[in-house]
Amino acid sequence: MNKDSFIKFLSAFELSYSKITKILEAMEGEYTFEKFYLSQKVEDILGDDYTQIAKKSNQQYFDAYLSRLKEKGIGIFTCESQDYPEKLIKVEDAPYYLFYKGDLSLLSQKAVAMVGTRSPSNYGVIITERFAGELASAGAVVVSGLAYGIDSIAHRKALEVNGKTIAVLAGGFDKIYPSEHASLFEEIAQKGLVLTEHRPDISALKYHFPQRNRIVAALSDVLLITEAGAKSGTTITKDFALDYGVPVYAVPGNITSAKSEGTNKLIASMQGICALNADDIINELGLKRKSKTSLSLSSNESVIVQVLSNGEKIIDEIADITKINIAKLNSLLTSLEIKGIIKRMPGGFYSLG
Amino acid sequence: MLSKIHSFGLKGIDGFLVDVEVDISSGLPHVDMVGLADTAIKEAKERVRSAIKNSGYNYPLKRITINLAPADVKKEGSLYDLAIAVGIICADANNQIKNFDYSRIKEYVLVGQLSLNGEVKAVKGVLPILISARGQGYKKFIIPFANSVEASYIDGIEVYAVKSLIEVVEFIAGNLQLKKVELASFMAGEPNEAKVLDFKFVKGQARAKRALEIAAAGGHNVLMIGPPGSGKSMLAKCFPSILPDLTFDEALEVTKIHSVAGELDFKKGIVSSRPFRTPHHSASSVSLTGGGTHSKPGEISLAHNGVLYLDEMPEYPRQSLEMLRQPLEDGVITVARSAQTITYPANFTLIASMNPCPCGNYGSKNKECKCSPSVRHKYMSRISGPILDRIDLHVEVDDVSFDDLRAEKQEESSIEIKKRVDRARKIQLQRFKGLKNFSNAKMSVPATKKYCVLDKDCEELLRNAFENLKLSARAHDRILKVARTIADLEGEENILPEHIAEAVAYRTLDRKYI
Repeated sequence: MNKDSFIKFLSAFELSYSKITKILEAMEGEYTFEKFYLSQKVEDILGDDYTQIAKKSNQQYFDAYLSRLKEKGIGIFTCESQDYPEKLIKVEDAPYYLFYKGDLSLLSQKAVAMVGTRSPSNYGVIITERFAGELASAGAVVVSGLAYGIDSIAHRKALEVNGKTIAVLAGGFDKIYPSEHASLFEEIAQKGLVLTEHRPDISALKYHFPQRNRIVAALSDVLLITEAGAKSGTTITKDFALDYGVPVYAVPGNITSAKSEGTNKLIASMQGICALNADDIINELGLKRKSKTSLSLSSNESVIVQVLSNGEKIIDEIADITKINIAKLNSLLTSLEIKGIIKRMPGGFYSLG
Repeated sequence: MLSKIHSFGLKGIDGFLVDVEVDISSGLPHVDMVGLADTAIKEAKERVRSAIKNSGYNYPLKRITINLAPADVKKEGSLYDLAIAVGIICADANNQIKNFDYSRIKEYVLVGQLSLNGEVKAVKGVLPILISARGQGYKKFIIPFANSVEASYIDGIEVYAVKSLIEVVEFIAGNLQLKKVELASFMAGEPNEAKVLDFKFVKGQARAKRALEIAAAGGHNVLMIGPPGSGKSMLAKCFPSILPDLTFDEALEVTKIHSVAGELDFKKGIVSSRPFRTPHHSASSVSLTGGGTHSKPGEISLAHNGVLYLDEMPEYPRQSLEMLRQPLEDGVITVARSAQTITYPANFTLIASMNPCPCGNYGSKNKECKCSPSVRHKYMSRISGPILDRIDLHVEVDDVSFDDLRAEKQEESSIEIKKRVDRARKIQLQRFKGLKNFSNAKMSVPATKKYCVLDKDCEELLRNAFENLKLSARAHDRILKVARTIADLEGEENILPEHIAEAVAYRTLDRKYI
């Protein structure tokens, strides 16, 4: 057995990073089952788990484990394999192995991580969609964590514009958290890539999330925070990114909004670069923006677009300004929405998409 | 001697013939009542004895057997008192009343409750009894005077209203001519002003008003979503003011139910405006659907031909909401209990309101929502898919700004809106002539296919809407029906793309609301 297979074998037991490091040392370059379960050092490292794991230290168990993964359509690569992304090597405690579903070639493409609050304001939703849409259309891979809020909005928008996206999960693939995002997970697995450090049957635990964030930060060439409050898990991702030398961009918000406190502070403390539009980031990544195809609008439609360019509005306000009657306006708004020019927000707001 | 007096009982909202048979034979003074009578009827023997005595007649001190036939059907209520009292007097060979002729009363149907002094008191359900009895060929009735207004709307029968037992007995003795209840003509009434408001008092909220207009025109159900204080309840209270007037047949149906439930205003006698029911979310499920030991129509039946308003819909117990599924689909509720199965009509328009999240501020411009996404999700999922499936229009109601509140802008009055609604209803009446349903919302699948024909442009738009806005499949038929109503409101024969587009705007909850 080579080192690659041996690490795959270890992945069946959900061991911590430090334990794997110590076990690999103890193996002294000789990777066999016998060496593994006969070693006193290994027994000391594994402690109580040793008996259970030693029982499973044989080729049959290992083969069965690999075929189970294969049945589920789950792949695994280790730090010894060619698939292992260069981006991860800079990480001090780079994962020894990752489970995946989807297209591994995304790992070598230019990527932007988009993270932020789990309960965004309307503003956060609008700008996240705008940035994610433009970045993904320009060819950047949108990396995020499949969480509520900014994460899922960024994933969804990237898929919507037929862009690429990577989701890094904090738990196993059979235990999607949050469960409402199971269908989103499936879609990303098909059209993009999903990654996790954990065996499929492991549920996400509290300490998995910060660990996951280090992978999100490491996989990206730019980290973009669109909306984050003062206390946020985003801080952890940001710290990792700064450690790895990944440029951090933050979108400024209203200084009265608690939800933008984190991003505003980032900009104020000069840790983050102020992101006013997607162009800066597209340039930073060395990509080119695709030219927008112009759509033909009726005169009434362009009036509405004009009105909405001053910010989001509810239908009554639009009706007041444009003097279009409500029945007509309802149908105009829907047709603009279908064309993807405007967007309907919770609470009945409309904004430019 | 034996006597037999006709009376009527109630099962659901239909009456059935009950023959009160009284036999008096010699023996120790004793009253025996048979025929599955409930406590209220068994107590009648006490009321009847006092009533007869206090009316100045002789109460026979003999063995009295009273049978309520058919003997195998459960009977409840106090409406047999009058028939029992008259039956006892008729059966008493020694009643010492001059010219007493039992045959004079034979073809009459008697209902009424007695008080101890011989007065005849009002009872529940006179209208449904008269309608059922007329259907079974009975022509002459004696009812409590207090119920006479309610009886005055039924033609083809002779109804006599009495105030006391004496009147009935004197009539049998030939000393008195009973007063006939005159036939009244029906006038659709104004909605109850204490409860119903006019749309001209609602500032702004143009989209919600439009949605309610469509709902009134096509009989669609509406769900309003908005933060607390945005005027959802006020909008709902305005809704009855734009509904089409009750027709006489509808009014009779509504009155029947209200009469059985004992909710009828005896002075008015008939429910002349569409009912608007607002059960609180603590209401038990039986009180909503009807049934119970003394089976009574529930809130949803009392809202028949009118509006059922559920404020804060997610606060209602899941079980209660799920029970609305059958009535929302079929317009009736069937309550099956071990003793009996009763079907009550329940064809109502559902107006529901809810907050967008537990704190109420999700999506609000001015206030911040403090709910976590999972809490919000849980809150939304309290309303199940099948229920949402039956609600055609979802409309968001936003906070009204201070400027809007103070604006002097003239808002359209309910009368104006009602004119458009009436016009759209007329088109539907024409369309569904001879069919049982006469609103777009109640169209069956084949009817939807027949009347909601889409041209190429409409098809294209609908396809784009589904693909780009990620609507769920269940939205499809709803959109067609609402588009049909919008076309009717505009007086268009065919559904146009703009009608489809507007209908799509009312399907918020089919999209991801998180």
